Amino acid sequence: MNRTSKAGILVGSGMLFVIVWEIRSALGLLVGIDTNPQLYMLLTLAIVGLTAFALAIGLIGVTPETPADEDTS
Amino acid sequence: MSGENTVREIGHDEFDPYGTLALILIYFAILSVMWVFMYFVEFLGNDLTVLA
Amino acid sequence: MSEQLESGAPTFLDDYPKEAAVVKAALWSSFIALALGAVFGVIQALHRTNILRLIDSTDYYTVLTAHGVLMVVSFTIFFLVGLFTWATVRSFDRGVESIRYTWTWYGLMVAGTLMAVVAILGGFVPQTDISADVLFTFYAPMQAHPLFYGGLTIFVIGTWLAGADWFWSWRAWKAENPDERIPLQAFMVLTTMLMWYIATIGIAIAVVVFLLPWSLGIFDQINPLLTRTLFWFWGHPVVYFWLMPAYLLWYTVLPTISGGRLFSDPLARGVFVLFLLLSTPVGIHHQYVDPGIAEGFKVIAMTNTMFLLLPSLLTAFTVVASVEHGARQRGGTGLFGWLRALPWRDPAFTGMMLAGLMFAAGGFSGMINAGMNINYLIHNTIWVPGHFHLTVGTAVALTFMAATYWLWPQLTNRRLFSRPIALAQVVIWFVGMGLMSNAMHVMGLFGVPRRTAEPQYEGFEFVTSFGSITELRLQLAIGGTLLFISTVLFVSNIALSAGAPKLSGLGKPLSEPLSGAHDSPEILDNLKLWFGIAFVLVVLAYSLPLASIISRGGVLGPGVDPVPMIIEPLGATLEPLVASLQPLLGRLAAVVGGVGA
Ligand code: HEM
Ligand SMILES: [Cu+2]
Repeated sequence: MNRTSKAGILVGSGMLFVIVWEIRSALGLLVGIDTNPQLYMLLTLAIVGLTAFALAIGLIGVTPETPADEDTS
Repeated sequence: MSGENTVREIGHDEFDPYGTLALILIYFAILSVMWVFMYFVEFLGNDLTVLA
Repeated sequence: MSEQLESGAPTFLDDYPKEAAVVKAALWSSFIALALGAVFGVIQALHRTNILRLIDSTDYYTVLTAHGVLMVVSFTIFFLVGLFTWATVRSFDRGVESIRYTWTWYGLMVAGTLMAVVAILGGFVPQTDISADVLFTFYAPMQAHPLFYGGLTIFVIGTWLAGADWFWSWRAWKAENPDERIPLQAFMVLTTMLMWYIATIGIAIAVVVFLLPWSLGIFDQINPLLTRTLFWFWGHPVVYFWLMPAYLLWYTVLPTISGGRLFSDPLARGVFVLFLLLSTPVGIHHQYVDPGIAEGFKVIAMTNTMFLLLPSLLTAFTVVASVEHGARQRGGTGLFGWLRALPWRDPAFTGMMLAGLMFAAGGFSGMINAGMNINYLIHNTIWVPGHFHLTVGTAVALTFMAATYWLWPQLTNRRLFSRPIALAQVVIWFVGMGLMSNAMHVMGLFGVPRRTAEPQYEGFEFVTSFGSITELRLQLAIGGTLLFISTVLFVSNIALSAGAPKLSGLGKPLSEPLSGAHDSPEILDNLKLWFGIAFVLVVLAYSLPLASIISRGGVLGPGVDPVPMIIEPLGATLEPLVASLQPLLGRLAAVVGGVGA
């Protein structure tokens, strides 16, 4: 269970949020699709939230041979 | 020198950064597509910009 | 958290206590500038989006100048001198030649900064005639109080002396180690400083020969295009001056903290040489829309700029390959699976990686800026700040903050106050910048100008191809606020670390490159040769454009009235005439303020 560390979830969620949200601009600018901002934001948050939750309870996520970020520094 | 988390030492000869190559190629592909796209935005979407 | 195994090695503070004090002082100066800059940054972000207007719009340029100067002159360069002192001392493994001398240049830099900042902040106090609302691109006809130019001059002299300090160490070291290759970090420091010496010729002439005498009233007019061109002579290479310390960290520190080794020392040296050669002869690419410079010169600048892509791509490859090496040593496998094996919990690692990622994104918009025609699409729109908040504002700034998390314990023998907060801080920066910069880029494409307190106009609406301007404004403001919060978290984390208990053995040695210096051609270390070639390239790129500007306008002509007026050039009898011209000049000021890259 819980193979993904809290740190991994935090960093991953940050990146996922930025990527999903910026796809809205790409859709608007490149393809001319005007998505509803409130709806899109809710959707983005839902995607990020669900992914984080699924990672936290170990539903998804992969187990590398070495635990991903048992830290050095 | 190896860190505490080193599972195996990898020397110069055994290391081929093909993962890096893949990432850089993806970046380059996006870069080219964006560039071509901007070219069309500028030259086909609008009237030509007057030079000088 | 983090039951990190310490290496048990002595720290920089243990080995070089006197130098560590200078490094710490320089970094603190840098962080104070960052904190102040962030306050002005968030004020701007909220003001121009009309969310919260704390200041009068007439003070907007004072805020903008303070933000620009504090961020890209004080924050970045103070960090640079601290880092370079650390890198030189560490890699030569010898203390500075004279600690008095080292404190002297640091003192000059502080004095210069204080003078410039006082001049800028004077803009808030209408009772004084001190002001410097000239933005960080301080060319004519914008005119500042002499204190501003004086401060700038002293600051730059401080950096020159700092460079001399590191060259001095090099000479002393070479005398004792005649047959050794220059250590990599020192090599990076020295090549960067050679670039700086060439680049600052432009700004030194612009400030000392023209702007300062002009603001003292010795000249009553100067050639604006000339000071602009001299400014950008320095203004492009200065971006590499911000970037090179970040590159130094990516090449020499990031591989170690990712658990690997630098892929190639010779490649790293080659990249720094290329930057020395190519950074300066490109400045005219900031002047694509300047009338008075022939298109041919602009094309040459554009071509040189495209060549500059080469060292950046080499850097991307070498750095990512080194990180991949770390990941594979940590047991990572697969074409992309190795990314999972990296130490994402380490704020220093994650911060630098996120910074690098944003830099890659900045590469997209940079490409648009660099194209002579496509540049017209975004010139002077808020797209441009959108671009450089990815590059200097994140690739550089976030790398500096992340590296501080790694370096600070070795300068103080104290652990960081909180690593989880540090990790959250770098992620918040990434998300905040994702929002702010995205909004800026998109608004720029819709034509929203930069450097404008109230970009809303009567009888005119910006046309958006999707979404709405209101939504983009909100996005910019939220992003800016997150960035501000992130800065506060960073600075307070470092400040609170002073309360952590003293420990020993916090030193973190750096790993050796996979392919070391001895694999690289000796000629790479021939600094005189590279300096000579760089100089010739600059002469080739600039002599004709400068000659044509001077022959057309004269050294001091054609001239325009300074903005804002500080010394009244006309007698009392002409006062009414001047007054009637004021609205026009005000308009001019607004227009001129919007000009600039
Ligand atoms: C604390 C986070 C920050 C916020 C909220 C912020 C916000 C802004 C905004 C909204 C502008 C555009 C103003 C306008 O054109 O009207 C701006 C301009 C600028 N920012 Fe930032 N910024 C931040 C951090 C930084 C950093 C870290 C740097 C560089 C190291 C930086 C460098 C600049 C520069 C050079 C300008 C242009 C000033 C000018 O046009 O003269 N900023 N900033
Ligand atoms: Cu440039």
